[in-house]
Amino acid sequence: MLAVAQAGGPEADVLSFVPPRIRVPLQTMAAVSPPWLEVRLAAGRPVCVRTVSGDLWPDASGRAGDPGAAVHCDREDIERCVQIVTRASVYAWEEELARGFCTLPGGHRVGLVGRVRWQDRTVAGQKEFGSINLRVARPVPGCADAVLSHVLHGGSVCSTIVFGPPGSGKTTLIRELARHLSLGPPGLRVAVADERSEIGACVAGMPQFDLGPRTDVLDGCPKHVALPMLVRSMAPDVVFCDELGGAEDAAALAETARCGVAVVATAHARSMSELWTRPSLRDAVRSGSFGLGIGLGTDRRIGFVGALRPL
Amino acid sequence: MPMRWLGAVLVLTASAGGGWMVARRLRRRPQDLRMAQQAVELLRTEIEYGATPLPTALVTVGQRLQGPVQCLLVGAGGLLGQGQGLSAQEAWRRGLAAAEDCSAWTPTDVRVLAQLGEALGATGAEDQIRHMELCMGRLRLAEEEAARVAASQARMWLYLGVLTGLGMVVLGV
Repeated sequence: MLAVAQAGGPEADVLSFVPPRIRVPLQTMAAVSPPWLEVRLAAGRPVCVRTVSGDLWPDASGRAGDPGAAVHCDREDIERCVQIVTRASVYAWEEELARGFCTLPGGHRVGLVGRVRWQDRTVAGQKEFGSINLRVARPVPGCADAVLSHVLHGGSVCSTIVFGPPGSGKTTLIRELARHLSLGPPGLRVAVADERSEIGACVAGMPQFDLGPRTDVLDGCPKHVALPMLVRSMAPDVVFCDELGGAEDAAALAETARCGVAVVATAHARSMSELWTRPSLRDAVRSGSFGLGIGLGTDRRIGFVGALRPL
Repeated sequence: MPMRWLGAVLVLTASAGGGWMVARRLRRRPQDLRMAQQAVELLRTEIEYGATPLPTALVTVGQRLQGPVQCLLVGAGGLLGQGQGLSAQEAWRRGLAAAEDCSAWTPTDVRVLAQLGEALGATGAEDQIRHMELCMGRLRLAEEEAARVAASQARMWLYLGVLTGLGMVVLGV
């Protein structure tokens, strides 16, 4: 039998950011639906709730049905949602809106897309929002148990890259690993370079997820800047970071590894061979930055755990 | 006879009081407009330098001021902070309606403040500052005009009230 979204759980947190008109049917539906992954709002389109067992389309009475009969969002709903998320202070969230997402209390994420303001070859901001995606954050206790013995060998951490497609649970896994390593035994000093505020989901400097008692989070800083900063300032045993990308990240990782600090990082890749097609990641592995690879599938199952060797 | 005198005193007091009320309102209007400019200026500082969220900014600035602007800012900030899903525009409108009753603002002054409310919090910092500068400019012009009117008409209304009362008493007696 499928689990049901709990009253007062993460769904209730997320619903407090939904405009009141849409909140009421969603509240009714939350009580009887499987755990939610996302609430998707788009101007002129039906409200969609993505759950672990598929998409649901709530009608005005909160029953799931066809998209045609579902509650539809209008422009005012989207504007009101932006106001609730930004606490009626768009000016205070310009950076977040420019990168397309905001982190909410509880670690939930709101993705927003509209019309981009393009300036000096960068996204300076967004306006006229059309779609909003409220992603429900939910810690998964125990999800790292199966790989912990591979990552932790005799009290020291093997540098690890966790790869998988979007939504496969990479961040959830490394968050749980960070908590385990920090909590102990052996209780390591853990530092998190949280460029996109996804691992700790800090709000006003406070991580919204439990990352353990010995964990320090550097929030919102690019990884290639954050890694040396953390090594110098917090003397960590292991550093965590999310979504490795360019050559700068790979160089910073190699430098961190040379300092004797283990690294646990994630990368978007569906398979080992795909991981190898990305030059910066291939270079990072070749330079010995990672000793272990963990591959995740779309079903959030761990599909690969093993030593990394260049193909 | 004593009743006549009592009536005369009442008429005179009422008429003089009416004139005094109008004069007081005329003299208060420049003050209230000045206070509104200060509020907008302080709000601009909170937004430009502190990026303070609007509910906090409104309450913080409101508590530093007095009179109708305090009523407006603390009222609107309080409503927004309750998290009932109100937009900044709705909260501002409600705060303004409450503040209007205890102010000397004219409907034109209220319209200037209402227009600021329509943009408040809904755009980036640069745009917010532009709206606030525009609002401050219009409030400054209104204040200058209010000061001219107060200087030329306040005393006149005081005398008019007393003289009208006296005239009514004389005619009545």
